[in-house]
Amino acid sequence: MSTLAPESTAHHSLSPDLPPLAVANVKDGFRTRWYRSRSFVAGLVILGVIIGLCTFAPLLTPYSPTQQDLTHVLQPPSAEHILGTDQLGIDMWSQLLYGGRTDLRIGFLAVILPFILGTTLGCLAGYYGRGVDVGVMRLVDIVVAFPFYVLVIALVFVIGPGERGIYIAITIVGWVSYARIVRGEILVAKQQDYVLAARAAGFGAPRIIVRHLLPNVITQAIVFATADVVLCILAIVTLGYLGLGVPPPIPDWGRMIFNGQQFLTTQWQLATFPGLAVVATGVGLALLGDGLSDLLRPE
Amino acid sequence: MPELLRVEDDVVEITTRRGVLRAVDGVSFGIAAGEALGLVGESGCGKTTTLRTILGLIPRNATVSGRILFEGEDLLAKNGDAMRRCRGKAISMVFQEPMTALNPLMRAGQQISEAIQINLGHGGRRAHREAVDMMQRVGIPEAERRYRAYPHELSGGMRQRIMIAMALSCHPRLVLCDEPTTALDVTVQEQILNILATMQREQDLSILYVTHDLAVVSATCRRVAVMYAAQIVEIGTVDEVFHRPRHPYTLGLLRSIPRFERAQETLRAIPGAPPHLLAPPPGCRFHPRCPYVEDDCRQGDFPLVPVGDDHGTACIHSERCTEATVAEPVMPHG
Repeated sequence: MSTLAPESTAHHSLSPDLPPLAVANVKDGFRTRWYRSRSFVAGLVILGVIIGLCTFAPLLTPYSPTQQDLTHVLQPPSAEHILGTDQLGIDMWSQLLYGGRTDLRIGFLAVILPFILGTTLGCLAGYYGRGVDVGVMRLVDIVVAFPFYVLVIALVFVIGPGERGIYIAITIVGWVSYARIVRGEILVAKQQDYVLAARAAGFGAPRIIVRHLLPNVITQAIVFATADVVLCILAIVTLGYLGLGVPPPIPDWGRMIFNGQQFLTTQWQLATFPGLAVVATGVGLALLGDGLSDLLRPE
Repeated sequence: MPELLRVEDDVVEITTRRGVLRAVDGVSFGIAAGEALGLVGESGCGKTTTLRTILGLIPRNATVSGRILFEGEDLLAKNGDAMRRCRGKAISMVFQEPMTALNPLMRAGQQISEAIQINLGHGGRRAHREAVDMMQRVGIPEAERRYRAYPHELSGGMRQRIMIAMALSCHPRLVLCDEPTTALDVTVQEQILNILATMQREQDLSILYVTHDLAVVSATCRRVAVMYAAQIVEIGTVDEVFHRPRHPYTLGLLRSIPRFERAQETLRAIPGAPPHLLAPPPGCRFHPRCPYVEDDCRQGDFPLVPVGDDHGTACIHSERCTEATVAEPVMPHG
């Protein structure tokens, strides 16, 4: 009678008998799951349509958004001008599409700078604590004391019109939310054993913060960023409406609304369609952000 | 055997809102090269804090004094950078809970090779090879596949092996183990202890085991130190201390272990509870609970005094323990 000796004992006297492990990839989970979140998909579709329309603007309209035609002002929608013209004869549809390009581009870029600045300061405040933390939090207090738009408008006013002013103003005001979120997450995460183990293994603070803490805390900041994009785009549109955005003749939804509001009783489409575009973009981004936070939530 | 580590009069004071307490109060011991020393005691007796002072990982509101000589150099005199170079390389640590001690977002094997890259300066590929090699040596089958696994995909025993591989990967001379098997079930415990014993022999390591499990100590260590209320009350070889204890606390601990060889109606516990370290009792800290207490126990200091070859105790009436063990021997562990 023969006995089957476990094959592992010959070479691995220290190892237990275990079946082979199917090593799954955590990232696979996200890739296969993304379509399960209806919000995420809906947001993706809406944004996809909007971004697609703006990107392919030259293919979708023969007119330039800056080309005036003073012989055809305030035309209602027609075969030649799908959405009519404004008081300078500029085609509405092309203004809408090219204006979308401007606003979306600035909106996405204007989120990244506060994200980076806020996350960095939040990391440093959370990890080092004491002096650094007090300093950063006092800065936060100062910024938070002002209402968002008051500060942004004041800064844009001081710096002057144009894209540069918008980026600087929004960064100075917008970094605080990221800093608070990241700082809070790091305060919790740094109590974890694996941070102590990393220190015990001789890793220095920069490596621990970037390689070990940051990946574990960044999801909250990313989720917030998706919501922040909506606010950024709204802020840019608002600035445009107030005349503090990108200067003419660069097309911009905000200025379109401002220009069109005086014609609400006659050519109502001039103010309404840019407004609807802003709403659609906001809804799309909100759904995307919701879906993303659903997907990134640990199971 | 030359001494690798000598801790002298280690004191850790922690400032709390309610006052200053001494989590470690004058602890002294030595470990020779290639030797395993067990540090046992109840939760809160200061054994984990002692461990952390060796690597300088104590919280900010704590101050350390004393000397910790490692290969002749005082670790407490080293600045932050010098201490960091020591960690993971000359001295490393194995933690109790491998699930929380491993980064959940990093692959298991990567955490080992990262340590190799940082501490030994080896390149990525070489570090990867060495990490896989170390994983095999601690008995992880299919090491290459498990290198890519995340910690939550591995069992508790596997994770602890990863921890041990990480601690041993840079060829330290001293490994500090903070209750490495407490979170594991008994069969896995034995495997892990075997691994540590094998590695110790192969690499001529010194090990400091902190644990509250006397059985683990008797199976793996040559010497043991018993801590109570932030002080060492008895120290000596495992054979001496566990068969001929010379401190009533040690005796109480040994007597409280349930025996399966004979039926017991009640478990024998030490009456009372350990003192709060903000206000420890005067004199011998164990005296309120001691069955052999006398008047001269209630005040004064009680440093360790030798009572035999490599056997020290803080009890000035240790002969009462000798009488007790003669009358009722402490049965050998098995």
